[in-house]
Order: sequence, then structure tokens, then C-alpha cells
Amino acid sequence: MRKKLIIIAVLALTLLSFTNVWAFSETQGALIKSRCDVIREDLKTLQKNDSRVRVYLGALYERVLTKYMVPLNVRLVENNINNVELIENQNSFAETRIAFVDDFVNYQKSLEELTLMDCKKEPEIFYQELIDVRKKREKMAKNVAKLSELIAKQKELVMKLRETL
Amino acid sequence: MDSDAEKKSTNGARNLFIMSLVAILIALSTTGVSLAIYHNSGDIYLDRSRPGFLPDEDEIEDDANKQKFDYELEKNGEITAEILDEYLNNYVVEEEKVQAYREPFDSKALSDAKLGIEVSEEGQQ
Repeated sequence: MRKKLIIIAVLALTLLSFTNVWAFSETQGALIKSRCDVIREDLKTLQKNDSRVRVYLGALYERVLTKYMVPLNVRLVENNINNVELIENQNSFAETRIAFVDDFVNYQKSLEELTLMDCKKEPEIFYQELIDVRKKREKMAKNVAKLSELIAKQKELVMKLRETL
Repeated sequence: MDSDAEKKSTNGARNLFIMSLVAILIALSTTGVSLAIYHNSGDIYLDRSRPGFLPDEDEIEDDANKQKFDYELEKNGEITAEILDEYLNNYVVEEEKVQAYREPFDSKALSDAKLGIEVSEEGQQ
């Protein structure tokens, strides 16, 4: 009798949890359907803002690499000063900058597809795509954070070098 | 004789039509290839001259007011403390510009709450 009661309780709990998940999805689906036009407009605005940030930051990164990092390392080599840390920093910066450029294209492609999707007809697929776009956006945020870190590191390394002169 | 002239005229008209058609097809296909490259390379996402992506007025004013920043470390020459001081002074300006962007591509912009599709435990917005 006791065993039966435990089994019934477990089954009831499992059923209840499934019902909650389903209710949650349905509510979210209804919300996506009702707010579809607003969401699409928000996504288009975001796309435009991201494009602005990408162009601006991309130009800055390019300038840091070509006008500061590379010339300094070339000049150090010409002066027979061996600074492995600065070279490693330059290489990491160049690699991450390429990732920043490539990941942005992937992210924008997915975001564009998302803005073109009919969220009224397929809210679930729309939400799945949204999760994918979020992951790609996270990658962009990581790239930007790493590039900022490397820019700060470059300053520290040059200051350290300055002290040795 | 007349029939020969007529034949030549007909052939000429037909050739002109075929040539025009071929020219149009070549133009269409090269345009298509160019657009595909423009899209697939990702250049489209950096092109701020396309409709809907034009810079805002304040941005244009900012650019116009911006001073030209011409510093670049020369690749040749000796390394002295003065040169590195000048380098650092200019570098700090660039660094500040990068850091001025607080949390670009932050996750909040695409969150459920921001898009107005957040569902609470009770199943309500």
C-alpha cells in the first residue's frame, strides 16, 4: 500500500512538472504572437545599433593594431630588444580581432534571419532561433572583453618597458 | 536580289535581339554574383549607407567635429623613454575611446524581459 502511494506521488509530481513546462511554453508563445511586430522592430533597432558599434570599435581595433602594436614590435626588433610578452600580446590581439570580425558576420546573419521570421505563425521556432542569436551575441561580448583586456595589457607592458630604459 | 536583302535585314534584327538578350543576361548574372559576394562576405553588415542603417544626424555632427588623429609610431628609429612617453600619451586616448563603450553586445538587449516576453512562475507577464 505504501509503495503504491509513493509511486502515485512520483507520477503526480512528474505530471505536474510537465504541465507547468507546457503552460509556460504556451504563455510565452502567446506573448511572442501578440508582441510580434514590436519585437521585430526592437530587433531591427538593435541590428542598426550593433552595426554602428561594430564599425566604430572595428576602426579603433584596427588603429591600435596597425599604428601602435605592430610598429612598436618592429622597432623593438630593429633595436635588438627582445620582448616576447609584447609580441604575444600583439598575436593574441590580431587573432581575437579576426574572431570579432567573423563572429559579427555570423551573429548579424542570424539576427537578420530572426527579424525576417514570422513570429506570429511560428513562435516556438522563433524562440529557438532567438536563443541561438543570444549565444552568438555572447561570443561577441566575450571578444570585445578580451580585446579590451589586451589593450590594457599592452599599456602595462609598454610602461614596464619604459621603466627599463 | 530583293529577297537576299530582306533576309539580311531579318538576320540583322534577329542578331541584334540575341545580342541584347545576351548582354542583359550577362549584366544580370554579374550583378547577382556581386550581390552574393557582398552578402556572403559580410560587407552588407558593415555598410551603413543601405536603407535603414544610415547614420543618425548626431553621429554625422560628431564625425564632423572630430579632430583628426594622426599619430602613428614609426617603424624605424631608436627606442627612448621620450618616444615611449609620447606613445603612451597617444595610446591612452585610444584606450579611453574603446573603454567608453560600456558593455557592447550585452546580453540584456535580447533578454526575455527586454523583448517583453518574460513569463513569471504564475504564467503571467
